[in-house]
Amino acid sequence: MATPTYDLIDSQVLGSSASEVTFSSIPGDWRDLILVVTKVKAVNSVVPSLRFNGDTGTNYSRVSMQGRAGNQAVSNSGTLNTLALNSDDSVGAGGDATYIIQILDYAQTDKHKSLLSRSGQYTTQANFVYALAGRWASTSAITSVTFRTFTDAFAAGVTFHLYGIAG
Amino acid sequence: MAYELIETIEVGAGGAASIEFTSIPQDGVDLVCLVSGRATSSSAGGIEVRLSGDTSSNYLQRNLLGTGSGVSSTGGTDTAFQLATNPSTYTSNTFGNMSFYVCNYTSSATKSIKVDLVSENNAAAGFQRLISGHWNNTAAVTALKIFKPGDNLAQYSTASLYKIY
Repeated sequence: MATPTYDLIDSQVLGSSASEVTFSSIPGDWRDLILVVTKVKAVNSVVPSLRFNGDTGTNYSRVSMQGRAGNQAVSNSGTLNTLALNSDDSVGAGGDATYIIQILDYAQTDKHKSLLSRSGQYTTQANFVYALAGRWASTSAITSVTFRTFTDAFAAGVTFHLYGIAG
Repeated sequence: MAYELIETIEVGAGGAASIEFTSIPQDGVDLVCLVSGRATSSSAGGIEVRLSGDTSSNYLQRNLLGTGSGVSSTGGTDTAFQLATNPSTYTSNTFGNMSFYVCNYTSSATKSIKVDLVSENNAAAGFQRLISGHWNNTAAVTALKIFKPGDNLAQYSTASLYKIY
């Protein structure tokens, strides 16, 4: 039997509203991490973002391309204190967004951390699709990942799966 | 706790009207289907993906398309997810490639999907699509069908279905 290469590290389902969810004490046993977040909706309106190891410094940057009804665009950021995943589109109470985020070489201590994110939703409220590349300017191994919002809170039912990929 | 291959299907000589996975095991969290496809005709229409035999207008999608010289965003509702692959006029032996991801495929909620796909023709044309989709059906995904209406998938087209759990 082949060696499993895509391991489920942890899962969480929001039982009540929360402004952030953190996976902590992540072992450095894999090459990459993949965070899959589904059924994302807000109490009112959220813009999901990431932080690593609780770092609140301006150590995050990103570039993205996005499509939505009627237009398409590209955007980039300067340095930020959190890494917004769909900065030009919020997710509302009727939202149903999905995020698939690959964090590369997360345990390496000789490089800044890169990530690739795919996200989007198609609901009667709004539909959008994003491809994003991001960087956390730190050589520290990632031991915690926080999925958070700038304002408001995620509604109950949001589902999180964190996987490790062997490499 | 793995990314486990359920099945790989390869189209044989003469082509096939579709590739279909049925009786998909219900013990995973997410599904991933990797497709290498080519059509037997020159028609430009793309391949489609249908879930659990649902032929209703329950497939919603937002596309971001890059052509190398421009970008566009389209979307809509249809009776299957509208995707793309290489037609027969593209360079011989080239295939379009796609990753089709279904989240929480056994849940009793409607399903979100993500698609990355590319096709390329001898450096003269290239397309990349990023798709966020929604299957507006609360049934579990028990079957996945890849087809091109009015056309066949060419020999050596392949699809591999994985479950993540």
